[in-house]
Amino acid sequence: MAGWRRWLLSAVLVPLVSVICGFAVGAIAIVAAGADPLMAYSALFAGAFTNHNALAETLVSTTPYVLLGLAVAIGFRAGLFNIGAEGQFYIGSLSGVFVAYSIRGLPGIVEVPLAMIAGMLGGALWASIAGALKARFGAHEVITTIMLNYVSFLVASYLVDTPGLMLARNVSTPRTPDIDAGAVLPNLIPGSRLHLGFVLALLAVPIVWFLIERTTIGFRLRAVGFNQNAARAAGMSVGRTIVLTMALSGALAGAAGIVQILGVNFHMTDTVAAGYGFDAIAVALLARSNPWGVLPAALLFGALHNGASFMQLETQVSADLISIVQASVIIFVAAPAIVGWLFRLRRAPTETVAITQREVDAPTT
Amino acid sequence: MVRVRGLTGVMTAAVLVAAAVLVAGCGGTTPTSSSSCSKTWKVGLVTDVGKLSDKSFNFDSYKGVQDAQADSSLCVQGKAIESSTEDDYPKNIGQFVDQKYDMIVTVGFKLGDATIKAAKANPSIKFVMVDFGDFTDNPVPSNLVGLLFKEDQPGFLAGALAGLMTKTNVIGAVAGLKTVPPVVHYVQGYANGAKYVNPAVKVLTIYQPESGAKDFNDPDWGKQQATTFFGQNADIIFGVGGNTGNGGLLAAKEKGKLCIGVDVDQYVSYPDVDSCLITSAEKHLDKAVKTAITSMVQGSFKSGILNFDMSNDGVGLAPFHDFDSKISSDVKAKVADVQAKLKAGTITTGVSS
Repeated sequence: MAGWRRWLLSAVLVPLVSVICGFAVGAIAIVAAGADPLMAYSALFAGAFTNHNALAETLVSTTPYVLLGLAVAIGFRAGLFNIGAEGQFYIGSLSGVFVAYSIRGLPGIVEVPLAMIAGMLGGALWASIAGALKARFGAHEVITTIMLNYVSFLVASYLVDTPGLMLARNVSTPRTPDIDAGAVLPNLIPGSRLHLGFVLALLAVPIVWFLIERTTIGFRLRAVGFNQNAARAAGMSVGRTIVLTMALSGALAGAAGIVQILGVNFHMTDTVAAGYGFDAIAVALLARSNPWGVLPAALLFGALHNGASFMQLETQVSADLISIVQASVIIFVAAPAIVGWLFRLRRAPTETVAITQREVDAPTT
Repeated sequence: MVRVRGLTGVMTAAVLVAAAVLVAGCGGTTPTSSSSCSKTWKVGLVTDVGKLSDKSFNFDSYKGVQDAQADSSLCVQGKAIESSTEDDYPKNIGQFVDQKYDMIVTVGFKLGDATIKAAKANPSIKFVMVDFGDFTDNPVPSNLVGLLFKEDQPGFLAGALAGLMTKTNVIGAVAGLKTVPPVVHYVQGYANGAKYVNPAVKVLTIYQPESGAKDFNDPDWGKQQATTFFGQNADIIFGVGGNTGNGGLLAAKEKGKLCIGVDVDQYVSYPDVDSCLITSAEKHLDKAVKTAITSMVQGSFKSGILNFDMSNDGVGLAPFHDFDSKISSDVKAKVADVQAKLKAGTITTGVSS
């Protein structure tokens, strides 16, 4: 019973209250900017859900957040802080779009999986560089993934901006050629941009959950996340688990990249992601690294991203306000003590840990 | 009661917010348009990811919308939406389409594809693309106009000022990519303008090589090139190319030389270099946008390309600011003379566009 209550507190109540507090902080910023928070938030809601095509557009924005949120969450579960989702998104987009515009005239059932595999493979290989550096040399993944982000941005702009490489001919803006018609993800609602990628993202949630919670790979991953020494003592290869986790994380981030191309953009420019991968860290935090939790968290971020346009149209409150709301939500999530303090929640007594440390050197009596 | 007391913090905050809402609601009334308007023209602007705070393209273009709104004879109501990602471009244009706006202004060539597509799908709405006129692949839809600028003219004028101000008879220009036509127009105009007033002047120019993500964004490179030019006796630097050019301006400031900004009045957009900035070669994006809006209101909207030059005040020189008192009236008169001749068309910049 106590465990159930604690779960409710940490997985539902704290994120929920954090979101409410985040909106309250946002409201203060709106007032400071000289607008009416109620009007702004009702426009935000209308722009995210009730306007013409708004819900479909929110789901379009939610799609990359789901896949990237899962990517970051899977890293968290193994104790890895993958800041590189943005870069893996780029590399996945690059390798995927290359396949998607190179192949011609095959049926979609062949072209889409080919492009998807290319994108996921690109992201996985890219992320496992950071994994291997950590496993082999102990280089911290936060540092290496941040650095690899820059490398991937520059690789992308070099490939996309250079004639003879991936730059399309006769275009006014630097971008790759359009993908083959067969590689386009089918539209779900005619007249909107909602595409099959959303369903793929939804399917990824139970798959990732099953992988983490019900397979030996997932067990190793969680064991390494809990305690590397214990995992090693139990005979697991910590290094291999780290590389594999990063590869899985990168594959999901790469999938987000190629889905965005096959479903929304149909070609790649050199500034395609613009922050999805960084927002995803917040999505995973808000979800408490739980794959199921990623879904509502991603929906929230998708709705904020999408609703911001209409909010600005109606009230001229800058779309950047959304960043304030997101950031405050994360501060409240990251510091659950604040939420506890606000509600004077009594800290549940810590249960006695079953395993006690034995003092090896203690003299026997 | 213990539990309730715990909520006081939240409730206090809520009350404060509610009070603030009331204050804002009462005080923040927007000016109502005059009753003489039989129709209010709704104009929406979509920025690129640079957003309104860029102090340059997006900011100035939106100022054009605001100027049109302030002009009571036009009966215009303007709004802007800032784009956070590239996926936002079609969506944000769509927001204004859904709200049945009369005109949609998109800023920057990156919105080109999305704008052309939206213009074709919505023939009853007028579309304006700022700084985009590349219709080579696309026949121009009848509801779409691209705003282009004769950059060689303000470049020529800036060059004339530099040619008159230089003490060493050597001036320089640190520019962005040679593959971007406006950059070349500015630089060639600058060189020709300087030689027009001072045949003895030597003009040192350099274009940034292709640098991927650092295109127009390599201030260190710009600074190095400007410093090299100072070593060759240059005493004025024209920075043409975003942050790359800004690096050149910064070098001039640090070395106590003179500098000239580009596109917008950089005295405002880049205050760090105010102490060396004698002027900026400007494109009047605000005027151009307002002109396009006015043409719609007055029923004279024409599709295609709208060119802005000296004759319609679409380009020009920014004020001298701190140097106003330091530039002799003789120099000012000569620059004004060149400007008048360019405007009248009695001289040309010698730059083919």
